[in-house]
Amino acid sequence: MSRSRPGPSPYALALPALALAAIGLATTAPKAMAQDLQIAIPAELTGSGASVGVLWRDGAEMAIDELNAKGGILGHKLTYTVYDTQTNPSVSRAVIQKALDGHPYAVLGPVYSGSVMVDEPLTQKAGITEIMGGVADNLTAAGDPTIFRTTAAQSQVLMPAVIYMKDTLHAKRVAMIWVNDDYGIGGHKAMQADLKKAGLQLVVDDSAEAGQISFAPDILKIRAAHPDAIFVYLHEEENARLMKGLKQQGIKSPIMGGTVTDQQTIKLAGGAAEGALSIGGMDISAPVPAVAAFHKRFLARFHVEPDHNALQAYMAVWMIKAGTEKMGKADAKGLAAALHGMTITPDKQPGILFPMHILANGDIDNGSLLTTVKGGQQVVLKVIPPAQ
Amino acid sequence: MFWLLAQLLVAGLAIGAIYALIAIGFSLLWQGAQTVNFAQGDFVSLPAFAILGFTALGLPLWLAIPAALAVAVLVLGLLFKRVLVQPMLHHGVLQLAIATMALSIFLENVLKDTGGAEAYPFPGLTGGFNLGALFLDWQSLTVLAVTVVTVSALNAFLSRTRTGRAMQATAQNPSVARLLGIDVERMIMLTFVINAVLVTLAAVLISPVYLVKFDNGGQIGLTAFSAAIVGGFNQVRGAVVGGLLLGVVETFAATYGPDQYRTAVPMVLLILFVLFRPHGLLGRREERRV
Repeated sequence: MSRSRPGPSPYALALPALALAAIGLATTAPKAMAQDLQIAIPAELTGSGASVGVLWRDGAEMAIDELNAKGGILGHKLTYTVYDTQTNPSVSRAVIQKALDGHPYAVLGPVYSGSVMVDEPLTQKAGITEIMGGVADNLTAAGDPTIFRTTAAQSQVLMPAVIYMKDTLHAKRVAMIWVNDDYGIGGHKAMQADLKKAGLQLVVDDSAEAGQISFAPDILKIRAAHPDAIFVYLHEEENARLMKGLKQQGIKSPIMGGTVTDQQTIKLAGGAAEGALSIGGMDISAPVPAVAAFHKRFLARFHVEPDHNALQAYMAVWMIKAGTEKMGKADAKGLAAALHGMTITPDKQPGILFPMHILANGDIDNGSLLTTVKGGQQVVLKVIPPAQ
Repeated sequence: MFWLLAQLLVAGLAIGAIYALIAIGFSLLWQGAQTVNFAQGDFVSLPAFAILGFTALGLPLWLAIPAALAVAVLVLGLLFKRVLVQPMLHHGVLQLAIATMALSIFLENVLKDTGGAEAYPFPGLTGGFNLGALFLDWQSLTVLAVTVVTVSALNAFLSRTRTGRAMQATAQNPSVARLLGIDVERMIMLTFVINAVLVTLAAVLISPVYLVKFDNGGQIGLTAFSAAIVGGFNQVRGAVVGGLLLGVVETFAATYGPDQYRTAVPMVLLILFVLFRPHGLLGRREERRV
């Protein structure tokens, strides 16, 4: 009777093999099943900024859905959580903190400069990229390496507006009304200096509160001063209330401003917005076929007119894609560094609807538009090309 | 200078006229049902949204307004009285006032959920004419005219009709009114209905300029409340005077004072009156406290 030599049973041999296989599976799992990239979208969904915040959210959602339909970013699907800042900086800071606790890949928003101002230190501390809609100059002036704009900063568009008022409107006396928040205060400060440089006289220098509903006293001040041009630096709702009042009072001085030709302003002000002028970042009326196609898709999906905020949020998602692909991996902490200095073009990233150069401080240079309102629509009078 | 002052006066009166319409409602509800309605501003928003809703359904504006008025009478008049005021009043005036604050929050959230958080445009009048250097716009003139007609009609109704006098009797002393055979419950209900009509009128007059938004009511209601206190909370004519005065003071203060403090003006006036003349300009002294 022979007796076989005792040795490990096949089962015992299988155990280490199974363990090795399990380890192998575990190490290869992230590659096979790429983790989702979580995007936090803090936006002004209620309060006085709801008109713009809702469109910002919708633009971002649309881009995320479209990207996911194409396979996401480097195989990673995008997921998102929307937070309501209530157009309130302190709420904004609280929701950003909550968002950061969830370890997002990037933060998209908010839109209002005042909110960005208070939440920016949090994203900077966390090392998470924040691509926002604010235009106040000081947002990118503090050397925060994680903050990025999606449109031109105030200083990039205010001086051209002053020059336009002087050379084309032949204005010598300008009335200015500005909103008393970080957006308006920044614009007011820059405008005062720019008007002085251009030799124009500021005959009315009036501030209004965000969400202000009565503009009668402001309108009468403007009426009494007989300005050659009125520079309006308010948010969309307040623009509309003021412009309706100006029309009611029969004031015919040309109106120029920050968002006076914006779709939301046009919708709310109706005929009172006719003829208003603005120099701003690239907008929904840009004479670019890809923008027109975006406009059509957005309208079909949400049944509301998109504005520059929707466009900016849409492109912000594609900025994340461009930066991630440049790194070759999804590294939340490395994204900001990858984005700095990038030039992103529509041929490489179709969701970047016009070429965009990201400057070292997070500002972007993608040109600007001189627009007016004609027949209830924003119309481009001139495309001002990027500086680079 | 004279023309600017005249222009400011017209603008202030036009704003004040709307405050007056809303303040009259405060006064009527207080007199008729000891109700301090802190949802009064939101009561203005509801008919404005209803008008927009009816026009969105295809009704022309001239039909949408009476349709919204019917909704306002039903919801802000009958339902408000039956569902909130009647059960809460037994618990005390303060409890009822707090309940109306809750109603204000509830209404704003219902409007936000159904109509969205965005502002909406509302049709109004544009243009006007010059009278010397004074420009009179049709919207302000319409506001003033409608307010004058409404206040006069209300005054005539309260003082010259049997029902109006019965309402006044009810406001002064419900027990005696009952002994006199007045249907007190009906009179109180009528007060709520009149308030619903007033806020609907205010909605039509204010929305073309202020736009329609779910949270507009808070600021408007607070200013109208201040107007009612300043004028005299227990007098309709006091509410009118308070509303007009507040509109004018607010306009002049915003023009000649620091911009940043303009929204504080109604509150400062309110505090001053509470401290030094709690019964207001034209009000009667009362023992009751809120």
